[in-house]
Amino acid sequence: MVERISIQGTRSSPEVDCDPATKTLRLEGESYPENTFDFYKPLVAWLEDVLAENDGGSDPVTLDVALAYLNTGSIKSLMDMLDRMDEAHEAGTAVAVVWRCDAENERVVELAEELLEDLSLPYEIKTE
Amino acid sequence: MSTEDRTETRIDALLSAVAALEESGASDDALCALRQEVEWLAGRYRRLDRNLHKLSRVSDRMQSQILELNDKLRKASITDPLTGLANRRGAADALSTQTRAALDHGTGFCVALLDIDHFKAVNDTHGHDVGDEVLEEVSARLTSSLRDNDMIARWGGEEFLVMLRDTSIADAALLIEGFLEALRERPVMTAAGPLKITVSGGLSPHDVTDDDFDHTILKADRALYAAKDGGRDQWRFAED
Repeated sequence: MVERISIQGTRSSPEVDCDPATKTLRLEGESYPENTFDFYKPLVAWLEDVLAENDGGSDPVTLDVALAYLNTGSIKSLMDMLDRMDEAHEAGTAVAVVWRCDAENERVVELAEELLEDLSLPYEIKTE
Repeated sequence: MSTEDRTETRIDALLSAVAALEESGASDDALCALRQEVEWLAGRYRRLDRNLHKLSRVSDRMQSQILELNDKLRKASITDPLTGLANRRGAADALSTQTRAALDHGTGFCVALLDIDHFKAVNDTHGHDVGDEVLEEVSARLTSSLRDNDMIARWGGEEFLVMLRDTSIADAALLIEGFLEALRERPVMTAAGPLKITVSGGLSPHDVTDDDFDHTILKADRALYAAKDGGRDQWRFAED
């Protein structure tokens, strides 16, 4: 059984909730932690485990992103997560990506589009 | 595991498989498995390559945004937000550049300090919003009566510093006199109605052999106070 990961947000790192019950990895806040790859490594591993454990049910494994700022390392880590989800999607696993942006934060909207547009998995960019 | 780590692991396994095939006569199944591995790696390689390009684009964009923001901050740090003129820091930067140019090339300049007369009374009588209107209008008139090459700064509350580049003291005097006269003749229109605003000034040429502008400002300041003492709405030359 995959365990839940909850991390409180700080000024430079997002609030994290990886919930196996809903198969959702949620990131909210700003992301420029001191050691970006160390921060994201367990999250990427969690996602891999949930995708591997997926019972083929119709509930999608969901990545729910609400990040207002990402440093380059965070973008790279997100790309890794998205790649893993895209592969799983191609192999028949139900996945979903929701990216929530403040409509006025054009930079993040643009970034979300850039990262998601050429993937085959279903995604939604929600501007709020 | 990152996509790179996974790919490295698969490459190592692939190389071992190739070595094993070379040692024993390869079967079709083994070759098929090998081909699948190569296809997997090719797929990964393309993904990595695509991600690298995306990341470069995003990073380039972030970099130009940072540069733009830096530029805005730099401008904001040397600008007075009310009048849009240089602030004290912007003026000090321009003065020190000009002081170096004066030392190196002997190009002279003059400094004028101008102070709005009885400004406290404007604020006390009509409120700070009207005071702000007066500051904005005096700034605008100062800008339009001087030349593009002159540097105008809000030096303090109601005090302006003007640096007149490559200008003789006689020409500087004409410019300052012209400004005082124009201001005297046309009241400033405010929310409290037209106000008669005047300015006092002190004018000092900069000594091109001086490596500091503090002395020039000090002299202009003394001249300004002499003008105030002399009854305001007038300007004075600096005395050594």
